[in-house]
Amino acid sequence: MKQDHFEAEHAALWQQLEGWLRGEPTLAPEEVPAAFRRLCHHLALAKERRYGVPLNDRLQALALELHQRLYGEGEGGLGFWAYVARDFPRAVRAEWKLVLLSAVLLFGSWAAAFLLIRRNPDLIHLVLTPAQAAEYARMYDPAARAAREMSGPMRDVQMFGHYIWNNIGIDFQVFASGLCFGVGPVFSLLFNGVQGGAVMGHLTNLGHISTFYGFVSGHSSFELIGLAIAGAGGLRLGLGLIHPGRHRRLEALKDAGRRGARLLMGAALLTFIAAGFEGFWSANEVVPWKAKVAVGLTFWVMLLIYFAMAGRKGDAR
Amino acid sequence: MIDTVRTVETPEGVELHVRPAGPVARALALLVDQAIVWSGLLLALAGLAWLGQVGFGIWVILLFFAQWLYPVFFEVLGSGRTLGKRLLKLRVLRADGVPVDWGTSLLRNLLRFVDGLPFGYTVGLVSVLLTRDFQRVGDLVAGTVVVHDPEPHRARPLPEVPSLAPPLGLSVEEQACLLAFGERSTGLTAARAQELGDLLGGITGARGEAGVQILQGMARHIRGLR
Repeated sequence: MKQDHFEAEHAALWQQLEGWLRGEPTLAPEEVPAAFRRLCHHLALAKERRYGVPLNDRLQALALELHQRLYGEGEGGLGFWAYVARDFPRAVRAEWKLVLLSAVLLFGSWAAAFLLIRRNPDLIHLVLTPAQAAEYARMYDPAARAAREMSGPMRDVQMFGHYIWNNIGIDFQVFASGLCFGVGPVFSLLFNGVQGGAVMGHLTNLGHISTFYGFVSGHSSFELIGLAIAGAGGLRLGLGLIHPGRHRRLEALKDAGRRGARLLMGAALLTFIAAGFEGFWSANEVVPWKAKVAVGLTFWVMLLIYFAMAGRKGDAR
Repeated sequence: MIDTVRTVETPEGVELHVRPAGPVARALALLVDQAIVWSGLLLALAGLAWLGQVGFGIWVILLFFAQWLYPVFFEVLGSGRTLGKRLLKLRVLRADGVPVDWGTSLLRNLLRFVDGLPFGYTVGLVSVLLTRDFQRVGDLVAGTVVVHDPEPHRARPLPEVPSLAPPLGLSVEEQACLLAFGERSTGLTAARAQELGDLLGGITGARGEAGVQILQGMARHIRGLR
């Protein structure tokens, strides 16, 4: 078939498709896939028959744009709720070994540092400089507390912003540094565990129970579980690099990236919630500290139930 | 052949071509993005300063979004283009040739952290230079590639000569070559055009002005002007 004959025969269809891409009602939505398949057929014919360059370019550009439009439409706003209600807890369960490892690194080092410093208070100086130790002691000193402006709506917003920037940033870094052969998350988890455990032991030794536990308990569950899950995502990434298994290394890495990112999004969400509590709830002095600890413990239990139970229905595994 | 075309095969069984963008275009896009983000942040800081602590808190939240999530929002909502990429006519595509979705974009942008190591995108630059499709580490893991937007084909006018069918069996490249000659011949000096035309004397069977005219006629035929 001569090129001009071919063009004359099919130009109407191409114009309809070009119009549809511009948003004109030239085709009904249900007609587009079939029209696109015919266009692809025309493109293949034009290539095979060596029709002119401009025609090839035009069909090629049209096909690329339609391909992107037809296959590129992502899922809409429903995706978020499906993720929270189903996909995130499922992802955590699917990666339970790495989540467990990450939790052991974080909470294990936390507990070890706490117990060691409870037994021998001077060990705090291995972790904190004297100035830092004194600063923590001053911040949580129950006696000096009323004198300082620790709370108030102005300060709350400022701290909320700081927690978001700092804590979610840490989650993201822990995850991304997993690409350094998994060393990043291991280091960060141990570092944060030792640091946290040491401060907790130090302040417990000093007897600043009501202020410290009252402050941290509310957001501790979201923040620490979030960090552990971000760490698991980072470990997954590192594992894809150093232990690709039966896949090619790049393919293993891509797969690990997808799986890690599914964990990370939830971890960031948890840390975001933690920042909310830390900014607007933890510092308030209206609620007695024992009630705040009770609320904090309730959150721990609720989160663990969420990860154990949510999204079980229709679970393939 | 050192060529930067990457082919994407669609479910319909045709191959589409995209052209990955090199380090310079991408660095420029990055610079534009950074300039936009930081001038926005500075403006916001000036505007929020009078709110005191509250303003500062809001600003830090903005800083967080600008640092980590600005590219994600713009890439997903702008069909693969941040503002800087829009300016440089670049686009982020997934391996299957469609613009990035949330998960993919988040992954490739969080891994900027790794590409930025140890400073100034060193890892990213090395990775871009070593991979065939100019992918930084984040692109490799997320399976994305940054491409040039295809330029709409702007046909330049051809000289008014009688159209003439070229020999059968010219490849697409050879046709493109003839077409390019036809388009450019009007801008060349007559002597240079004839010198080039004489190289194809074997095809046209003519030399000098006549040979050039025959080639221009073939170009018209290839363009589809009969």
